[in-house]
Amino acid sequence: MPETLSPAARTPESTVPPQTFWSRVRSRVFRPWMVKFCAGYIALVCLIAIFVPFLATGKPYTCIIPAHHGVPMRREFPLFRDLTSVSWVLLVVAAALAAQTGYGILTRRLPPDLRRRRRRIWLAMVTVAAVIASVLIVTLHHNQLDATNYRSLAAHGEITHAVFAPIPWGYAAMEPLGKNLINKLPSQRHWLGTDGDGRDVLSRLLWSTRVAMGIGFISQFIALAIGVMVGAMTGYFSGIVDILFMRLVEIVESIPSFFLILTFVAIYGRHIFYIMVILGVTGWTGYARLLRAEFLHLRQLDYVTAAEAAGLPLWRVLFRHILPNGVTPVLVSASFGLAGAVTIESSLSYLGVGVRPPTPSWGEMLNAAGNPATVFHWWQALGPGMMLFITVLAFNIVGESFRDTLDPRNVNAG
Amino acid sequence: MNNRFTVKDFIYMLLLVAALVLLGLMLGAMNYQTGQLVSLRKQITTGNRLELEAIARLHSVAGAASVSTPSSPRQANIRTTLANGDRYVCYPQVPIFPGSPYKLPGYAPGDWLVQNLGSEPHSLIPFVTRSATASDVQGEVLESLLARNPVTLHWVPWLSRSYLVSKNGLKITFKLRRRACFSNGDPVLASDVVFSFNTMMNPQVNDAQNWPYYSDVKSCVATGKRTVIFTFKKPYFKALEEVGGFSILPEKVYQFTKASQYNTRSRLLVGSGPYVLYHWAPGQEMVLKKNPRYWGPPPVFNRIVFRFIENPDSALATYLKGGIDSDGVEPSQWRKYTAEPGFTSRNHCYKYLTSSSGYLYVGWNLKSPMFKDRRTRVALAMLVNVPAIIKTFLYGMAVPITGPFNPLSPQNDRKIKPIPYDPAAAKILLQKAGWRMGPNGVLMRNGQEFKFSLLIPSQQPLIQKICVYLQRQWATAGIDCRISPVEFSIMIRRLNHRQFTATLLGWTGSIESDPYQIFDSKSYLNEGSNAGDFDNAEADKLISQGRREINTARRMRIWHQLQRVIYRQQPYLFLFTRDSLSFVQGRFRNTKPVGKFGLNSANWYVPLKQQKYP
Repeated sequence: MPETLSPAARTPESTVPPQTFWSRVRSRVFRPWMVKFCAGYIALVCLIAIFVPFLATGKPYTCIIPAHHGVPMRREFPLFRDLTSVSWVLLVVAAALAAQTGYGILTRRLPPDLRRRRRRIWLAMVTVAAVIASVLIVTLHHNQLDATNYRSLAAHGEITHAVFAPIPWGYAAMEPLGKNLINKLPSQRHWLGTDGDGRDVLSRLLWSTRVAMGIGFISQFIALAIGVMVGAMTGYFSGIVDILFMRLVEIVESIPSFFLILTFVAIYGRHIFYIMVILGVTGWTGYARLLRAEFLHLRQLDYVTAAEAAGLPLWRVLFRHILPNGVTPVLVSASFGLAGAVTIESSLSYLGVGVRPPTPSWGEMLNAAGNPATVFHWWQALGPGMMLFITVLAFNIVGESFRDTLDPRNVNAG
Repeated sequence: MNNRFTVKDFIYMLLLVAALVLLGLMLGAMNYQTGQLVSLRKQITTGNRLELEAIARLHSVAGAASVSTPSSPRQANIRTTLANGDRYVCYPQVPIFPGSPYKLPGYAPGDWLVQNLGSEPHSLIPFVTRSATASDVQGEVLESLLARNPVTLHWVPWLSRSYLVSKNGLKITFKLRRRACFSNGDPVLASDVVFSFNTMMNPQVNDAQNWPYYSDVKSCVATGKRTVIFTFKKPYFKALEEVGGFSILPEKVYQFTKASQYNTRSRLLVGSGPYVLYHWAPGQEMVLKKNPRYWGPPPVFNRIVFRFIENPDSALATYLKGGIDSDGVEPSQWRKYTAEPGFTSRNHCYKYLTSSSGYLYVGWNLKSPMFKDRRTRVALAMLVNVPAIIKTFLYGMAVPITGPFNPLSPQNDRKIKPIPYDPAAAKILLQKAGWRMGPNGVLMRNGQEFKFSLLIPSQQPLIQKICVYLQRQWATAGIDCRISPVEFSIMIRRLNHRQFTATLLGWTGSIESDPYQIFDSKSYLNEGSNAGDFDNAEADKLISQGRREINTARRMRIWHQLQRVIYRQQPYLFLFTRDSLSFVQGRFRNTKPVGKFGLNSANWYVPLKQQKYP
């Protein structure tokens, strides 16, 4: 017997497996081609963010160092040695997601109940494995500081059989100074040209997806976590808890996050972590309000009373029975929040208070491209400008489509 | 129904009380500030009406005699050595320096000068503020006993009428001008000079950076209404410059009972200069107005407006739209615009190196075990290709330096050659210093990785570019440097509190600088400017010798020796001195740099027909 008590009527006798709420939503949200395109674009940007160390780097995947001075010939893997713990953790997350999706495809022919149970066990196993792997990576892994110019070594024959990435430039790799290779137009060597430090613009453009997606997802994750907790508590308990927490919400809402970040960064220095945390800690109030409204309504329904009467613990009533029915508007709102976070990070970087140099970010690249009124290098602004525009637009279009689908006033609503 | 007093009501009441208390506190604070402002305004603007009128009359009469009607007979200036060996200098009239616009055809006073200050000073307290931008503003409002002729470089009487330096250099007597008065109408008296000096030397006033220059002053005494005598414990080569060069403040306005009162009046700026602080909108602009009671040569502009645009691109864009009247530009901007046809004829473009230009350096915190060893510091310098930096990022518009002295100054020893760019030799030197490659590709010594953060001011694209290059270069030798850009005022605070391992910053220069402030071991104390704690007995000895040496040729030899010690020790990684690059709007006249100080906006004027502001 399913554990979830839900107001939705179920038809267990049907021979065709019932279409779940989410699968119905999914099929409607992604129906327009524009939304399909935008979702595909977001997925692509996420993939780039995860796999960019393999796409744009000056370090070869592998190379052979010939024997010299009595040291025998050996094979090296500079790219893998150079991976940071963040890169490894992202790979673990990607592997976990792939494992979960793959398992879902493999088990799609099983009976629904068995399938659900097995998938749940598999999900728990994958999650535990991923968490353990991530903790181990963060605590034990140290990446190598390696500023060797492998391209030059390969050119001079000091390494052989080197296999380079498609874009053989790291985001901080500079062309040698004094050779007039800064601010160069797109060429065969640098597909999107070089910036004012002689660095490859395309490589920096791809690497900056990490900052954008990182800020967007992590800050919204923090905001959602706080917002859901506070919203659930205030909506469910109401009374004095509601009064106190709603005042807290009003206080937090009155803090301008942009200026808080500017002040914080001025005092404590720049760090991407600060931006993520501040955006998260100041951005949860909208979610809390939405969820509070949902909880105020849902807690009066019979199935909640039934759950309470069955003697289920409070957290189970809150998060297992009410939350899944009230979380959809919050998730829709989160997709807009994500776009907002990306914009704020870009604005901060544009103002020169975002990420630390030499970390690339779209805002920082736009700033470095110069000012159209004075010295301006269009090729340095085109990529980040377009990426920023399309990314924010894509998140908004997908969010809007979700909203339209889930809106109960809409006759086609899921 | 019974209305019970519940918890909810209690909380509401508590909130109400808190709100009332808060409101009361705010009103109290506002009242206190308004009271202070009103009393200050009274002091500054009203004063004794009769006295003011008398001074104004005196001002107009004397001004007419010395400036407006040059045909009237001028008493001759005296610059002589007396029979007993004392040096006596007397300027009966206010000196008019070369380059002044008053006699030029078409000269007309009026219009405004809108300048970009770059970063906004967070306070304007005389002596306490350290930023160069604050001193730009103070320079228009405050004056000192002496002024320097930009061509002859002589120190000539300004607020003072004459000075007498004893033969042994241990006693300097100043006689003040009768006409000199502050903007509130009060005359500049000996008591104001003594008050200003005592304020500067007050241990409770936060201006430790000034003390080294005055450590040898034994006393500053007013012996008459307009006579001040400074006596020294030991001879000091900059004695005249320092006691004649500090700002004179009106005692009546600045007097305080507790130093904390002085340290916190960040917006009070009153002096005897040609302009008065009129308005300061934080984050936007600072406006100076012509001082109507100014006693000296009449100021040219009705107003001087300072804007705060940090980003060089935004500053230039504002300049091109006419939002600011002059702009110090970046080399890339200079290159682009001077090549544009017609630009140089519509604007005045100046590129010059003055003997007072400052320099850029990387400063190490020598307290950190990483930088204690001299060989490590030399190796770090050998990994940096300064000529390539100049060629690439500055388009050749800078000169490499080998020490803290300006390349054009006689203090600089030209025989010293810059440390060569030699990564291979640097790696050997690092090995000799005990650094070995660790498992993470970072050098290690005694279990500690060679990893540090480089503190830099944000909003400085050039500094950021250089840092990215340095980071890259040092990484090739296994040195892990993180760049940490922070807001400038926060950065200064961190340097003062010694919370840094390395920093990239600049020092402003002077024709002959006193290395005591930056390189003497005693300047580490009391938040002095030797932030990195350079402590070298030989350098200390040479600095002390040089300061005592009055003979210029002998002193220069000592400075050259000192430069060699500093070069050998490398407490700084010396980078370069930049050319000054400036654009000035075409409507201004007489903008050419005069003498050895570069551009001087006091000489500029706008012909009547081209004036833009009322």
